[in-house]
Amino acid sequence: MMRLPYFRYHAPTTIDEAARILAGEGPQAMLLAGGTDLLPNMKRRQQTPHTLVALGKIDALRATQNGSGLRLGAGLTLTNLVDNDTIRREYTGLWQAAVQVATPHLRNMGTLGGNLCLDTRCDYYDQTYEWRKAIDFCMKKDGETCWVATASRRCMAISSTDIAPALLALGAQLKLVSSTDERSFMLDEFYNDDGIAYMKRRPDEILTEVVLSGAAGWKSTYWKLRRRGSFDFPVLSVAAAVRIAADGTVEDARIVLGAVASRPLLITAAADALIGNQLSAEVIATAAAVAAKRAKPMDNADFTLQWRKRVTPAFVSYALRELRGDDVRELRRSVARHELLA
Amino acid sequence: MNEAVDRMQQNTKTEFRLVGKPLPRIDAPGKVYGKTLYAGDYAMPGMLHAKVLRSPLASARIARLDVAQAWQLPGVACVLTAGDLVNQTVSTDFPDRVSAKPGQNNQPILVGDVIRYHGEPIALVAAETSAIAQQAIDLIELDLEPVAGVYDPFEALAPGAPIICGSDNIVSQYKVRKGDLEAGFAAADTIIENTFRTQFVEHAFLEPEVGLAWLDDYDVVNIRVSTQNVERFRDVAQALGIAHSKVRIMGAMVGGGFGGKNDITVEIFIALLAKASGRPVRMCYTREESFLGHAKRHPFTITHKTGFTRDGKITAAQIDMTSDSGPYVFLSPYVLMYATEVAAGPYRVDNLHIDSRAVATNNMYTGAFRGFGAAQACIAYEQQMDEAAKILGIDPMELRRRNLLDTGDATATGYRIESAVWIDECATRVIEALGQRSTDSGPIKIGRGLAVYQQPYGRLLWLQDTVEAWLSIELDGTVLVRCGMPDIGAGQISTLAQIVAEVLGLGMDDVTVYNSDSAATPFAGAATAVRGVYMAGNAVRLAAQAIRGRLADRAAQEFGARTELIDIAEGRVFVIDDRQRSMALTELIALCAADGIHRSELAIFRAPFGDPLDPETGQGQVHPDYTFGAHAVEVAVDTDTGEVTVTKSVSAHDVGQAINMQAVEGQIEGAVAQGHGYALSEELIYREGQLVTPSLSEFLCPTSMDMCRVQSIILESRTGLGPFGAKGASEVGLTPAPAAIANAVADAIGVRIHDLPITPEKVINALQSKEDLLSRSFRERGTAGIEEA
Ligand SMILES: Cc1cc2nc3c(=O)[nH]c(=O)nc-3n(C[C@H](O)[C@H](O)[C@H](O)COP(=O)(O)OP(=O)(O)OC[C@H]3O[C@@H](n4cnc5c(N)ncnc54)[C@H](O)[C@@H]3O)c2cc1C
Ligand code: SF4
Repeated sequence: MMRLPYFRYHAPTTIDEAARILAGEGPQAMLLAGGTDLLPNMKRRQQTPHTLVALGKIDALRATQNGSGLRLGAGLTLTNLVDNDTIRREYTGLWQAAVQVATPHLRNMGTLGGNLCLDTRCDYYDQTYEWRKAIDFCMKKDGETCWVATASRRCMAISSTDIAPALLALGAQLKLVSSTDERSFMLDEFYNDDGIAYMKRRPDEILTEVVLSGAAGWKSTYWKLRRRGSFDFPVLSVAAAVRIAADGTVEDARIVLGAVASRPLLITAAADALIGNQLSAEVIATAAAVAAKRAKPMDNADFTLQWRKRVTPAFVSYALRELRGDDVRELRRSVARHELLA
Repeated sequence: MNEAVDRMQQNTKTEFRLVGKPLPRIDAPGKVYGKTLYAGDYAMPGMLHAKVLRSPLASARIARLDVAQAWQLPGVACVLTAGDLVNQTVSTDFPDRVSAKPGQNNQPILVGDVIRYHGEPIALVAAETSAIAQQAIDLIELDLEPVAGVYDPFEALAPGAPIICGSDNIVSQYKVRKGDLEAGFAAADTIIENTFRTQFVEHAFLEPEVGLAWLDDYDVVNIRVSTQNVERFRDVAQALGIAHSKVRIMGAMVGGGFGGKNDITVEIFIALLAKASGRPVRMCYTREESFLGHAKRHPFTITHKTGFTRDGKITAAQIDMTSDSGPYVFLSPYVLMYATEVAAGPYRVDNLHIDSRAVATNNMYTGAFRGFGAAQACIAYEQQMDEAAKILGIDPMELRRRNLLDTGDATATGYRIESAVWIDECATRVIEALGQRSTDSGPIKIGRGLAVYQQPYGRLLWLQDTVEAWLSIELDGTVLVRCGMPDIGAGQISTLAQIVAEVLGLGMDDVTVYNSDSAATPFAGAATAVRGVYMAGNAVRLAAQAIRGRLADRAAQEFGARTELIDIAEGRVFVIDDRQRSMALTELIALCAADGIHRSELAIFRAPFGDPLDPETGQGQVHPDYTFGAHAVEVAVDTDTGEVTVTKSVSAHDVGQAINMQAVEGQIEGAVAQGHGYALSEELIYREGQLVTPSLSEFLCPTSMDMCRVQSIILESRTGLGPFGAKGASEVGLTPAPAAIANAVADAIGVRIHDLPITPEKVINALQSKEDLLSRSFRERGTAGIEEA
């Protein structure tokens, strides 16, 4: 068994208290939600906080509010999201993303907030301490060089969250709370394309809530590419949402690619290719080609990057075909090993 | 069918009481309720925890090794390096091999100078806690000078390559020369040549390597360890420089082995530390260490050149095989022998040349893995048959049928098969079971594939295999069995109990089996080579029969009837044609005891012995017998993404006689799942000898979401050499599955992928090259085009 390093542990019961502890401890402290990302990383010494501030005892982080839109507490588990009928029916893309995260056990522990703040991933980084030491540490932790692109001055570790692309396509907002202030972000503005500084969250901030506006008229979907039907992180994902008029014309759209950069990529040009048109084969093909051009995966995940790039247009078209109302069950079974019917 | 088969088939009419029934395994409740103790569950007062320092490089020289700081860390009890060892090396051969030349197959216990693979052990630490032990490992100062290595067997054979093993990197080589190859090719209408490659694979057993060692009051080194082979106590004795009788190895229920726990794992390390510290020492590998710490499946490169007549008869075959042995010998010569023996498949090939070699590199060392070389051979010969069928325009099964071996026919090595060869029967059943072919839809293309096989069971004849088993009947009519055979989760002890209960007319609960203890249970060798039921099953059966014979004699005397007319069932002894004349079994046992009749028996079962193959012609008998069968699958291939989904998987085998039907099905289903992984997703990748897929998040075993239901079809010819006509059934589910899947993918997309695993990338690339071949202009349009469903 790999062992956790020593750390101090706090388990506050209110957001205020947590924010106070966090502010007092400084950047050496980290928040612990389900721990499904942080604890394995600590065992491998990728992350080495001196103090953990656990969020599990804060009931306020597990609230759900269903008004004109939906407010989801950051402490809700992914299983909570999967079991939520409103999400399944009205925010289908989010449900399809949640149900494809990891495995049932990990979804029982893993939270919404932890997923959105998930550390970026890389084949050279997600390894044991000894392994990383053997090839020499990389820029993301303890080293100087990036082993994926030795000339690169920034880390290109991959954004591997399933939930963020789905929420981005739904136009979600985040709420962050610290001991001194509260900030709101459109999710799109929350992330940076940088494997190390991948989010704008300050070390003293707690992500408390995700806010979704009403889903009336919108349809959404999420397609995830991974090696197996369970366990594995995405190596490519497509989240798409469209608002379609009665005559089939697309009034509004968002297309997001996940796991091809250090942040989820909102591809406005691809959405623009849809707006004002019906989802014909040609329109879908154009949008898919536009989106695929933006996909610049690096060679640091399983599957070769040529292949991930090549599959991107097919994936975008699968997503759009589903939104158009095609029967894609066969494709879902092939890709997700599951029909994922809402 | 020959006489032997006729004779054996007469048994088919015999009705068994317990044998063949799907009875709950006696080890099942303990596992279900979590009561089973595994080696890792054992602890002792004052126990130390141990860790290994392993080489971060694959090829290097140790420039400096300083353990002073590690020694000084409070809580450290013992630090050992090569300099502390009595013997520097230990044999990697089978521990019961009497004919091996000493020193020939040795590997260092701890490296003192030259490192030959990534993960090679350099130093050992025992400390009060495993955290302290790990800290001490981190304090060891190690300076390495990289040394030019070689990481590809073909490069290792090239002139000027660094020499890793022996004088020329050839760890072992064989040849088979049969008939007239030139004449055979001259008689062919078509000659087909293909090269197939297989990858390094990890066993990924659930329970990592773990053990506990302590010295008892007689200075015997006792070891409780997760192992497939308690006879490794001889290696431990050799390493420590003490008498064989001063080492005792006890197994426990094993949480999976698949061949990976046949070699030494932690035994020598903990024994050395226990001896040096005088305290009990426990060592348990992490998953990552387990990846570095045991032999992998041999990658093979196999070229088949086969001549066929227009109507599909094989006229000649030339086969070349190269396996990567890693830097040390281990079981490479044996694995290569299995591969060579069945290289041509279960087909009649009168004109045959086979050349095979195992080559040393600085990759991880390789060894036993379910299928043991015969699986790799099948991946090649069965793909070659499908390629031939396509070119000849003959249905794949029909082509096989025209060439299949039958009982009495000679194998590649000239051995005439004596048992039933029910390949056709199995193949017919699996094809039938696939049912209606699914239809293509959009980018999803359906394909079907078949593979048949020949898998040896038991050991090489020149290893003179024997098993001993001891059995006694208690005064209350229950039975105690002692037999060294480990239970690695395949149901070995339950199967032995079932055999004994059958012979003695008892219930399963009446039999208690003690196993896997080198000091207290008679030697039974390793739980490998599909020999558990065949060898140990025969030994306990012989012992049970001897006891039954004595009981029957005494009963016959009591009843004044002939011995043959005495039967025992459900705790009573009676005369078959006059059931009035009966008594309780306990009464009979009391009579035997009063007369001083032996109530125990030590039996030995000897497999047929034989000489090694003729070195020039490769002719002779290699194994006692073979299991035969077939596998068929249907796959759905997404031609956009390259993803392969196996939708139907049917596995049929003539297991001779299932002892426990449920256990046999379990073995087949598990093996098939491993076969799926082998075909589609599992691959250990070494870059310059460095393992770059070092954990279960990169080495991808299929999950329950990726496996379809496996249908197993079990046929029983009762012609095997095991008890009641059983053949081996524990490896066979794996052997044909990868080739069947590869054939199905080729059927679906119309182009073959010659290298396992068949990843989506390879599918897409294969489709791309097919497109390139079909039309160059198509390619010009770019790769981003989307075809509408
Ligand atoms: C085998 C395996 C497979 C996985 N597969 C997937 C997958 O397919 N898709 C996927 O998306 N993820 C996957 N994960 C990652 C992880 O399980 C999920 O992303 C999960 O949702 C993380 O949530 P958590 O609560 O466990 O996060 P934690 O591990 O507790 O935290 C993760 C990070 O978020 C920070 N954090 C947590 N909560 C907050 C908050 N409220 N405010 C600010 N920061 C916070 C933590 O400090 C930490 O940096 C996998 C993990 C494993 C071990
Ligand atoms: S992208 Fe480069 S710097 Fe970032 S984790 Fe990977 S190797 Fe390290």
